[in-house]
Amino acid sequence: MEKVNLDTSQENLSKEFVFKADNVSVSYGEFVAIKNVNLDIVKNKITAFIGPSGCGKSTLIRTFNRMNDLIPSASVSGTINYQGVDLYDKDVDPVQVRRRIGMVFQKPNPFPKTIRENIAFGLKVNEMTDNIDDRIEKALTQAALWDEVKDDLDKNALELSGGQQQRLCIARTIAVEPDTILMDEPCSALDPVATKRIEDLMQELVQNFSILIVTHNMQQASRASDYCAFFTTKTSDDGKRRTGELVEFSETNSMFTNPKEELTEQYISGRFG
Amino acid sequence: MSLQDKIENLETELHIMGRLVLDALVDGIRALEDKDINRALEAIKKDDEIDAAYLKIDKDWIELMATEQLVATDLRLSTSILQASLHLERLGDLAVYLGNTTQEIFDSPVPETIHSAVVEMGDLVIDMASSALESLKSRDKDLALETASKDKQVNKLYNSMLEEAPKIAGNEDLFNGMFRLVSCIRTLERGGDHAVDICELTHFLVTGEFEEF
Repeated sequence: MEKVNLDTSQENLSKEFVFKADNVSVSYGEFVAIKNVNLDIVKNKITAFIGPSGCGKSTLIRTFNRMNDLIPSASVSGTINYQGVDLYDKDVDPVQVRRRIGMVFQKPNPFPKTIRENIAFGLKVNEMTDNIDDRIEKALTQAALWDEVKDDLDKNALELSGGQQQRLCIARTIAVEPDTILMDEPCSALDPVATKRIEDLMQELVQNFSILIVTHNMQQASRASDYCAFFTTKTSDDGKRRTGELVEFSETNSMFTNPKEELTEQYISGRFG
Repeated sequence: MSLQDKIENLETELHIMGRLVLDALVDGIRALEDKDINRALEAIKKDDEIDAAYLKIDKDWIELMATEQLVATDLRLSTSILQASLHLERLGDLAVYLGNTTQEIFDSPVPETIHSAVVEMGDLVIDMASSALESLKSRDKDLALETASKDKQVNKLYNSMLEEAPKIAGNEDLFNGMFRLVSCIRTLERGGDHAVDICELTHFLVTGEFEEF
């Protein structure tokens, strides 16, 4: 099977948007989790997804690297264009997608192996083993962890603190040289100091990566992101089904000082949701 | 106390301060008009209360910022209140200036044209400050714009008095009165600007956009 080339050539990189989601809906069997989302994600910026529980923001972010493919009942309609390529084209290899578009999850989930092996694993899978020590150092440096672990690379990763483990997961993600990082509530299990380190790190990483982050923390969205998408749930007329919808998407400064939609105003002011 | 209550309290404090400032300005301009020393002292005396109200708003605003993550309308409203309180404090100083000017001219002859123009200008500034506060209270951006447009009349009076002053400059009897009143008109002209600035805050609060009127 001929694979569609996802290579981020200079021509592709010159495009302003990393993703263009057009009328995207995601269902789990009969249940429509989120529907009719139109969203253009700007390259080398941090875009936050906010909204009440159940609004489909995590479901949506997982469509951006085809993580929902792993759920048998999940189906995606509409199109997600990634750097000029239809991400759901039948000829696109989801493994290659996930190398280009890395993901960091809510709970730090390092492998129960050494720090070195945690980084090396993805490099080996992706046959990026030339200069592997340099690659490991670079990834840990980019994730602002190198100075803390450089003398303990053979220590078990589970011995690290929660914040260090999350930065290790970020290092593991960026080691395989993605251009986009998806973060699903990456700080919700961390204390404020570790959270600040991750947020500072995001500001460093965004020089080289596009970042999408799901967060329940409104202050984090306002502090850390450049763009913000607010989702909510709409209940069906019979009251039986709740479906997520995009309410407002704008620059973060604008959303938090002058939201255009009443629902956004109520949510970010803590009066709803 | 809920966030809503805290912001409502802050806004109430602003409008109480506004009432004090308007009362002081009325005392100041009537004192100047009638050369009424007692009323001039009333205008001056109110300034302590105005300053205390200003400091209370300042303190409550800082506490609000320290304890709440304000966004959207809450953020614009609280910021507008803080800025409006500063303009009101300056308008309070204007009332003191009017009181002091009254003391300086009460036993001197004054040039009638300038005296009446200063009073007219003062009444205009009081009217503008009152309407500006009302526009902020009622979130009425049209009233804010209409009020700000009155500043042209204030500026017109200001310029006409500057033209009038040299005609009287050679009259030694009128010199003290003229000098004091001409000093006063500059302060009144700034008073009009403070009212316009409050109107701009109304526009910002309602629309989320900064605009120079």
